Amino acid sequence: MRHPTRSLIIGSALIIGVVGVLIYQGLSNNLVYYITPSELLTKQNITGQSFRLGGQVRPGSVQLNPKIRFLRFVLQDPKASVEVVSHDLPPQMFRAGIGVVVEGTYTGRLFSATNLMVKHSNAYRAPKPGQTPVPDTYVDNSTQ
Amino acid sequence: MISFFGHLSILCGLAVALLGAAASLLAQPANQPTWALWGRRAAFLVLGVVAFATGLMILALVTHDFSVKYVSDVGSRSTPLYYTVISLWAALEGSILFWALVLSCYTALFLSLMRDRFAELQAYATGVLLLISAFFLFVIAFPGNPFALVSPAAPAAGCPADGCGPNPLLQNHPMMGLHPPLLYLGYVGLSVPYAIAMASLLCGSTSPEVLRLIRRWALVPWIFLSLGITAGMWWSYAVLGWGGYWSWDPVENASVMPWLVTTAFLHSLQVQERRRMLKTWTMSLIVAAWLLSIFGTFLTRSGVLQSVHSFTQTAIGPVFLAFFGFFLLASAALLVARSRDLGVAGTLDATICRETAFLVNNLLLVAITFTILLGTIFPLLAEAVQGSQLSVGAPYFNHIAVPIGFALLFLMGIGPALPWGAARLSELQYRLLGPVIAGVGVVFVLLAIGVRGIGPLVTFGLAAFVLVVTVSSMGADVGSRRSNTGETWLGAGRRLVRANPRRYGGYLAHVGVILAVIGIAASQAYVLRTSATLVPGQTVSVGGYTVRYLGFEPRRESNRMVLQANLSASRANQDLGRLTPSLNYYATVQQPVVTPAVLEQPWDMVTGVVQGRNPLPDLAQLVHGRNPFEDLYVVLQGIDTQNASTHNSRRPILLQVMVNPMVGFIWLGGFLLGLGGAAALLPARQRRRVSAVVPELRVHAEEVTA
Repeated sequence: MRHPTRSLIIGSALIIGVVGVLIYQGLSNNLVYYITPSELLTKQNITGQSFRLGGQVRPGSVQLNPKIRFLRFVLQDPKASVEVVSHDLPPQMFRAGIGVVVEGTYTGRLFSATNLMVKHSNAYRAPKPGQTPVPDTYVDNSTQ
Repeated sequence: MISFFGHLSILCGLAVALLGAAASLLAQPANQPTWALWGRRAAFLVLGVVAFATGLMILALVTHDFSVKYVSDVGSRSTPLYYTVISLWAALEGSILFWALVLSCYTALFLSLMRDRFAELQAYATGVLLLISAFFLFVIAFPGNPFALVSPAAPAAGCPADGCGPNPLLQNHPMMGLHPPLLYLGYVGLSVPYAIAMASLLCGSTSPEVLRLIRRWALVPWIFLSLGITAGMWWSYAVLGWGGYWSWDPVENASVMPWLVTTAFLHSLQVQERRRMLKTWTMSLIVAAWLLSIFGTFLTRSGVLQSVHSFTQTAIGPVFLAFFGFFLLASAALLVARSRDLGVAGTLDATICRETAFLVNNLLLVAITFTILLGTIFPLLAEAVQGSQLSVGAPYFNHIAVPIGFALLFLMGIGPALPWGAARLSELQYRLLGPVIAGVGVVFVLLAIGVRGIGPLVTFGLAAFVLVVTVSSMGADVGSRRSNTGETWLGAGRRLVRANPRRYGGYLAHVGVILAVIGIAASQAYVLRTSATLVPGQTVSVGGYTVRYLGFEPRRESNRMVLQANLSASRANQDLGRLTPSLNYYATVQQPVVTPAVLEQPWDMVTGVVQGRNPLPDLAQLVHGRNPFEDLYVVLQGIDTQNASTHNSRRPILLQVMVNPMVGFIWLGGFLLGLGGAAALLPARQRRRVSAVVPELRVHAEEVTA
């Protein structure tokens, strides 16, 4: 008769191995490295390369036109800000004030994003007091 | 005044808690039974003092005493009274005060219910609980003092005229009064089973009575966590307005990790009780569950998530980390030192048996917890070690959680069908044949009516399999009792549940999980969404629903400006009523808070049945391929404010419309999970009394519990 404890140990090792592989795959495919706007402004010769930029969407800076798939906003960190344009519609959770990571190229003035990801850890941070609301604008060509 | 007395009472509470902890912990080693009595009194005194301090804080909030810094941070004269009171937990300092209050309530409740049973164990447990209280009171007294003054030098001069109010997200929906307390009752409640476990290790007794005690006290926070997590998902869905209910946000991860580990504990405890196996493991699980609840509090409350470097800006982060490290090391040392004294270990008799199912279940639950923990703290580790910024996306969590979830679901099906000890394969085949046929049958029926997608189909098939196993084992028990006693189905069922509430409470919780899993799979796979810019009179259609924009209406409320779009919804020419999504602008915050409008058809059906409406026509929609369990979810994403000449009511709006199928199943599942937990808390009815009336019942009752 086979020893049940031994087969159990083999089974457990198998499960742990599979989970380990899953974690390895998950981490290697889904880690998103990025630089911040203030790091970007200190870097030279970064134009032309594709890289990722992470920061907070400045409230009041979002302009969105779903008809022609145009999105423009300012990405900021406490020290610097960069203007971002994209021709993709933003994901569900995108809104002013949220943390995002954008992937694309920098022309020296504008960051042209090919991919936009909402960063999870910065969501719903408590707001700073003492500021007046600035509505974001959603442009509509049919009425203007 | 409030600041002075509040701070003073917290300092008193800290002193009492420290003395009480010392007295309780040393009573046994010093052989001074009266010290334990003093420890007990200290626990009740701490409750009194903390309740007094909390009362003062609420008084300060309600009377708008802006000389207190916490009140000036979260209070404002324009905030409605209800939100003013619940701003007690709207920010860090207040929520730690609330933590301490809940903990001292739990401690007092524990002592009241224990009376004079397990005197030695009780003294140690009181000591551990008071030590935890002392830590929180220390945080309240020094680094995170909610009673601190705005300007300590000149309190009267530096008092602001008005505050900015709580975070708009927290005053946007009444649910905020229920959801955080539920989670806190869960987090904090884990301290009690942890303290009992520590005490049992300290006095070296893990008798079955002590295990039962730990189980009951672990079930209470488990129920609150289940309900709290569900409430959090509902809040995320119906209040935050991004259309989903789970985003693997660190705050969500922090709440689900203790729940997963406590779930593993509740399962492994059954193996320990029956087979005397896994003793150290079971104890480690409850210790880990509590440590994770403390770690979650640290993670979400210290500011460490914004950046590793931001957490040293206040002293709370390092203090929390030191406390966590101390308890981690102390618990681990105690577990290692006492693991030999836990008694003779039983051994496994066979590979295929219920013990193995529980073991694998434990392994998977711990693996999923580890995955979530790793994903949550990985950005912090990377920033601390490499100095690089990175973010771990939701795909990482789904990549691992989904396959493990399938495996757990499968185990939930075969577990109840497996016997303890050793299984005979022929019997197993006989027991599982029906459920497997049901699972496969459901997949074919769904394929026939046009449901597609591998993931959801596998989920539905597995769910049907588990449901049939669970319901048929309950049905078989009721049937055999009925044939033994001649009772009605209902009577037999009721008495059976009363005789063994643990077993049937567990089954009910399983049914809850199945429903939630069905809801998650369907809503993730079959969501439909569209966005459109509309002027009044225009419509947008998605998934058979038509939404018409009627007009736009700005409205001023005491604490906010509400910009509301009036919409009407219909489906196949049937009017579904008004929808009014809005954008809410709070004076102090730049970005608006979105309030979605959700038409929850399953819920409407339930309320309809309560009001005497026939649900059959709604259900009959299924025949036409229309799902009656759908939510119509509308978010007002923006209003065109550029053209000032346009009249308010004619402004174009940007609307997002979603059809979310079966989300209601998740809420129902979460409720059943809590209900099952509550049922498992009921004391089993005394068997002796019943068997005196009907002799053959005793045999049956033993059969059921065996």
